[in-house]
Amino acid sequence: MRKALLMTLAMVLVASSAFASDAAAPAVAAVGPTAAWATAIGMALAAGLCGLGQGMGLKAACEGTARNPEAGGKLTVTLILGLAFIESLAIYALVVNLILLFVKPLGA
Amino acid sequence: MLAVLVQKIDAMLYRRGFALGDARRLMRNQMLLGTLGSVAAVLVTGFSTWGFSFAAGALLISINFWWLSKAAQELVRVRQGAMFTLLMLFYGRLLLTGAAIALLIVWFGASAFGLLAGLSTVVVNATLWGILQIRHKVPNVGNGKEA
Repeated sequence: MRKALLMTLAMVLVASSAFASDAAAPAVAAVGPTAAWATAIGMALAAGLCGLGQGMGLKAACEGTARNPEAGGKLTVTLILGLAFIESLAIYALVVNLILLFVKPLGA
Repeated sequence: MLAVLVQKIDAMLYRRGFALGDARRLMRNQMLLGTLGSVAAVLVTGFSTWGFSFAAGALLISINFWWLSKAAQELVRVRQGAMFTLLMLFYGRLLLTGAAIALLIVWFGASAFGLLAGLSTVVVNATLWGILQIRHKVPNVGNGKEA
Protein backbone atom coordinates (compact mmCIF):
# COMPACT_ATOMS: atom_id res chain seq x y z
CA MET A 1 0.00 0.00 0.00
CA ARG A 2 2.74 2.39 1.03
CA LYS A 3 4.83 1.42 -2.01
CA ALA A 4 1.91 2.08 -4.34
CA LEU A 5 1.33 5.47 -2.73
CA LEU A 6 4.98 6.45 -3.10
CA MET A 7 5.06 5.23 -6.71
CA THR A 8 1.93 7.25 -7.53
CA LEU A 9 3.42 10.35 -5.93
CA ALA A 10 6.68 9.89 -7.85
CA MET A 11 4.81 9.40 -11.13
CA VAL A 12 2.69 12.50 -10.56
CA LEU A 13 5.78 14.57 -9.83
CA VAL A 14 7.68 13.23 -12.86
CA ALA A 15 4.64 13.67 -15.12
CA SER A 16 4.05 17.26 -14.06
CA SER A 17 7.67 18.22 -14.77
CA ALA A 18 7.53 16.38 -18.10
CA PHE A 19 4.36 18.23 -19.08
CA ALA A 20 5.95 21.49 -17.96
CA SER A 21 8.86 20.99 -20.38
CA ASP A 22 6.66 19.93 -23.28
CA ALA A 23 6.87 22.97 -25.52
CA ALA A 24 10.05 24.99 -25.94
CA ALA A 25 8.80 28.55 -25.42
CA PRO A 26 6.22 27.97 -22.64
CA ALA A 27 8.70 25.69 -20.88
CA VAL A 28 10.79 28.64 -19.72
CA ALA A 29 7.71 30.38 -18.37
CA ALA A 30 6.50 27.18 -16.73
CA VAL A 31 9.68 26.81 -14.67
CA GLY A 32 8.29 29.36 -12.20
CA PRO A 33 5.20 27.48 -11.04
CA THR A 34 7.00 24.16 -11.25
CA ALA A 35 9.79 25.51 -9.06
CA ALA A 36 7.18 26.89 -6.66
CA TRP A 37 5.49 23.51 -6.39
CA ALA A 38 8.83 21.75 -6.03
CA THR A 39 9.94 24.08 -3.24
CA ALA A 40 6.62 23.76 -1.44
CA ILE A 41 6.68 19.95 -1.56
CA GLY A 42 10.39 19.82 -0.77
CA MET A 43 10.11 22.08 2.24
CA ALA A 44 7.02 20.28 3.54
CA LEU A 45 8.78 16.92 3.30
CA ALA A 46 11.99 18.25 4.84
CA ALA A 47 10.26 20.03 7.73
CA GLY A 48 7.90 17.16 8.47
CA LEU A 49 10.53 14.43 8.38
CA CYS A 50 13.08 16.49 10.33
CA GLY A 51 10.42 17.20 12.98
CA LEU A 52 9.69 13.47 13.15
CA GLY A 53 13.40 12.72 13.52
CA GLN A 54 13.84 15.29 16.29
CA GLY A 55 10.81 13.94 18.12
CA MET A 56 12.13 10.37 17.95
CA GLY A 57 15.54 11.51 19.18
CA LEU A 58 14.05 13.36 22.14
CA LYS A 59 11.79 10.40 22.95
CA ALA A 60 14.78 8.06 23.08
CA ALA A 61 16.81 10.53 25.19
CA CYS A 62 13.94 10.96 27.65
CA GLU A 63 13.52 7.20 27.97
CA GLY A 64 17.25 6.74 28.46
CA THR A 65 17.40 9.44 31.13
CA ALA A 66 14.39 7.97 32.91
CA ARG A 67 16.01 4.51 32.96
CA ASN A 68 19.46 5.73 33.93
CA PRO A 69 19.44 9.27 35.35
CA GLU A 70 23.23 9.21 35.89
CA ALA A 71 23.78 9.01 32.13
CA GLY A 72 21.63 12.10 31.61
CA GLY A 73 24.57 14.40 30.88
CA LYS A 74 26.04 12.23 28.15
CA LEU A 75 22.61 11.61 26.68
CA THR A 76 21.89 15.33 26.58
CA VAL A 77 25.08 16.07 24.67
CA THR A 78 24.35 13.27 22.21
CA LEU A 79 20.81 14.61 21.87
CA ILE A 80 22.11 18.13 21.17
CA LEU A 81 24.44 16.78 18.47
CA GLY A 82 21.65 14.75 16.89
CA LEU A 83 19.22 17.67 16.97
CA ALA A 84 21.86 19.96 15.45
CA PHE A 85 22.49 17.54 12.61
CA ILE A 86 18.78 17.12 11.91
CA GLU A 87 18.12 20.84 12.10
CA SER A 88 21.00 21.60 9.75
CA LEU A 89 19.42 19.20 7.25
CA ALA A 90 16.17 21.15 7.44
CA ILE A 91 18.06 24.43 7.02
CA TYR A 92 19.97 23.04 4.03
CA ALA A 93 16.66 22.07 2.44
CA LEU A 94 15.35 25.57 3.20
CA VAL A 95 18.36 27.24 1.57
CA VAL A 96 18.14 25.00 -1.50
CA ASN A 97 14.45 25.84 -1.79
CA LEU A 98 15.17 29.54 -1.44
CA ILE A 99 17.84 29.24 -4.14
CA LEU A 100 15.29 27.55 -6.39
CA LEU A 101 12.76 30.29 -5.68
CA PHE A 102 14.87 33.45 -5.73
CA VAL A 103 18.25 32.74 -7.33
CA LYS A 104 16.50 30.69 -10.07
CA PRO A 105 19.31 28.49 -11.32
CA LEU A 106 16.83 26.79 -13.68
CA GLY A 107 15.96 30.05 -15.42
CA ALA A 108 12.70 32.04 -15.58
CA MET B 1 45.52 34.62 25.56
CA LEU B 2 43.32 31.91 24.08
CA ALA B 3 43.06 30.17 27.46
CA VAL B 4 41.81 33.40 29.08
CA LEU B 5 39.30 33.90 26.26
CA VAL B 6 38.07 30.31 26.63
CA GLN B 7 37.71 30.78 30.39
CA LYS B 8 35.75 33.98 29.91
CA ILE B 9 33.44 32.39 27.34
CA ASP B 10 32.93 29.37 29.62
CA ALA B 11 32.06 31.62 32.55
CA MET B 12 29.62 33.61 30.43
CA LEU B 13 27.97 30.42 29.16
CA TYR B 14 27.69 29.06 32.70
CA ARG B 15 25.98 32.24 33.82
CA ARG B 16 23.57 31.95 30.87
CA GLY B 17 22.38 28.49 31.89
CA PHE B 18 24.82 26.08 30.23
CA ALA B 19 25.34 24.08 33.40
CA LEU B 20 26.34 20.87 31.61
CA GLY B 21 30.09 20.82 30.95
CA ASP B 22 30.04 19.09 27.56
CA ALA B 23 27.18 21.24 26.26
CA ARG B 24 29.10 24.33 27.35
CA ARG B 25 32.26 23.17 25.55
CA LEU B 26 30.23 22.38 22.41
CA MET B 27 28.68 25.84 22.41
CA ARG B 28 32.03 27.50 23.10
CA ASN B 29 33.62 25.59 20.18
CA GLN B 30 30.78 26.70 17.93
CA MET B 31 31.27 30.33 18.96
CA LEU B 32 35.01 30.17 18.38
CA LEU B 33 34.66 28.29 15.07
CA GLY B 34 31.99 30.69 13.82
CA THR B 35 33.94 33.80 14.81
CA LEU B 36 37.34 32.63 13.54
CA GLY B 37 35.80 31.21 10.35
CA SER B 38 33.92 34.44 9.68
CA VAL B 39 36.99 36.62 10.23
CA ALA B 40 39.06 34.33 8.00
CA ALA B 41 36.38 34.25 5.29
CA VAL B 42 35.98 38.05 5.27
CA LEU B 43 39.75 38.67 5.22
CA VAL B 44 40.66 35.94 2.71
CA THR B 45 37.97 36.92 0.23
CA GLY B 46 38.90 40.60 0.54
CA PHE B 47 35.69 41.87 2.18
CA SER B 48 33.58 40.34 -0.59
CA THR B 49 29.88 39.44 -0.49
CA TRP B 50 30.83 35.77 -0.11
CA GLY B 51 32.77 36.49 3.08
CA PHE B 52 29.98 38.55 4.62
CA SER B 53 27.45 35.89 3.60
CA PHE B 54 29.60 33.28 5.36
CA ALA B 55 29.67 35.46 8.48
CA ALA B 56 25.89 35.95 8.35
CA GLY B 57 25.32 32.20 7.95
CA ALA B 58 27.70 31.40 10.83
CA LEU B 59 26.00 33.96 13.09
CA LEU B 60 22.55 32.66 12.20
CA ILE B 61 23.42 29.02 12.86
CA SER B 62 25.26 29.90 16.08
CA ILE B 63 22.16 31.65 17.44
CA ASN B 64 20.11 28.67 16.31
CA PHE B 65 22.49 26.25 18.04
CA TRP B 66 22.45 28.32 21.24
CA TRP B 67 18.68 28.18 21.35
CA LEU B 68 18.65 24.46 20.53
CA SER B 69 21.19 23.41 23.14
CA LYS B 70 19.54 25.45 25.88
CA ALA B 71 16.17 23.95 25.02
CA ALA B 72 17.56 20.41 24.83
CA GLN B 73 19.11 20.70 28.32
CA GLU B 74 15.74 21.65 29.73
CA LEU B 75 13.63 19.26 27.68
CA VAL B 76 15.42 16.08 28.79
CA ARG B 77 14.30 16.76 32.35
CA VAL B 78 10.70 17.60 31.44
CA ARG B 79 8.34 14.70 31.97
CA GLN B 80 5.23 15.98 30.19
CA GLY B 81 4.77 17.92 27.00
CA ALA B 82 8.43 17.74 25.96
CA MET B 83 7.65 16.51 22.44
CA PHE B 84 5.13 19.28 21.74
CA THR B 85 7.48 21.93 23.09
CA LEU B 86 10.38 20.56 21.01
CA LEU B 87 8.31 20.56 17.84
CA MET B 88 7.01 24.07 18.45
CA LEU B 89 10.53 25.31 19.13
CA PHE B 90 11.82 23.52 16.02
CA TYR B 91 9.19 25.00 13.73
CA GLY B 92 9.56 28.43 15.34
CA ARG B 93 13.32 28.35 14.82
CA LEU B 94 12.90 27.11 11.26
CA LEU B 95 10.41 29.89 10.52
CA LEU B 96 12.66 32.62 11.91
CA THR B 97 15.75 31.16 10.20
CA GLY B 98 13.85 30.92 6.94
CA ALA B 99 12.71 34.53 7.19
CA ALA B 100 16.25 35.69 7.98
CA ILE B 101 17.81 33.69 5.11
CA ALA B 102 15.13 34.88 2.67
CA LEU B 103 15.78 38.48 3.72
CA LEU B 104 19.53 38.00 3.30
CA ILE B 105 19.22 36.43 -0.15
CA VAL B 106 16.42 38.57 -1.58
CA TRP B 107 16.95 42.00 -0.05
CA PHE B 108 20.64 42.09 0.79
CA GLY B 109 21.77 40.00 -2.20
CA ALA B 110 23.80 37.61 -0.08
CA SER B 111 25.66 34.78 -1.78
CA ALA B 112 23.65 31.59 -1.30
CA PHE B 113 26.78 29.44 -1.35
CA GLY B 114 28.50 31.67 1.19
CA LEU B 115 25.46 31.34 3.43
CA LEU B 116 25.50 27.56 2.98
CA ALA B 117 29.17 27.46 3.95
CA GLY B 118 28.48 29.59 7.03
CA LEU B 119 25.53 27.43 8.01
CA SER B 120 27.77 24.37 7.74
CA THR B 121 29.96 25.50 10.65
CA VAL B 122 27.64 23.72 13.10
CA VAL B 123 27.96 20.47 11.14
CA VAL B 124 31.77 20.86 11.10
CA ASN B 125 31.73 21.55 14.85
CA ALA B 126 29.54 18.53 15.63
CA THR B 127 31.58 16.26 13.36
CA LEU B 128 34.86 17.39 14.92
CA TRP B 129 33.39 16.84 18.37
CA GLY B 130 32.28 13.32 17.42
CA ILE B 131 35.68 12.45 15.93
CA LEU B 132 37.49 13.74 19.04
CA GLN B 133 35.15 11.76 21.31
CA ILE B 134 35.81 8.57 19.34
CA ARG B 135 39.56 9.19 19.48
CA HIS B 136 39.40 9.65 23.24
CA LYS B 137 37.47 6.41 23.66
CA VAL B 138 39.86 4.24 21.61
CA PRO B 139 41.78 2.11 24.12
CA ASN B 140 45.53 1.91 23.92
CA VAL B 141 46.49 -1.40 22.36
CA GLY B 142 49.54 -2.94 23.94
CA ASN B 143 52.16 -5.12 22.32
CA GLY B 144 51.14 -8.25 24.19
CA LYS B 145 54.09 -8.22 26.55
CA GLU B 146 52.43 -6.30 29.39
CA ALA B 147 51.54 -9.43 31.34
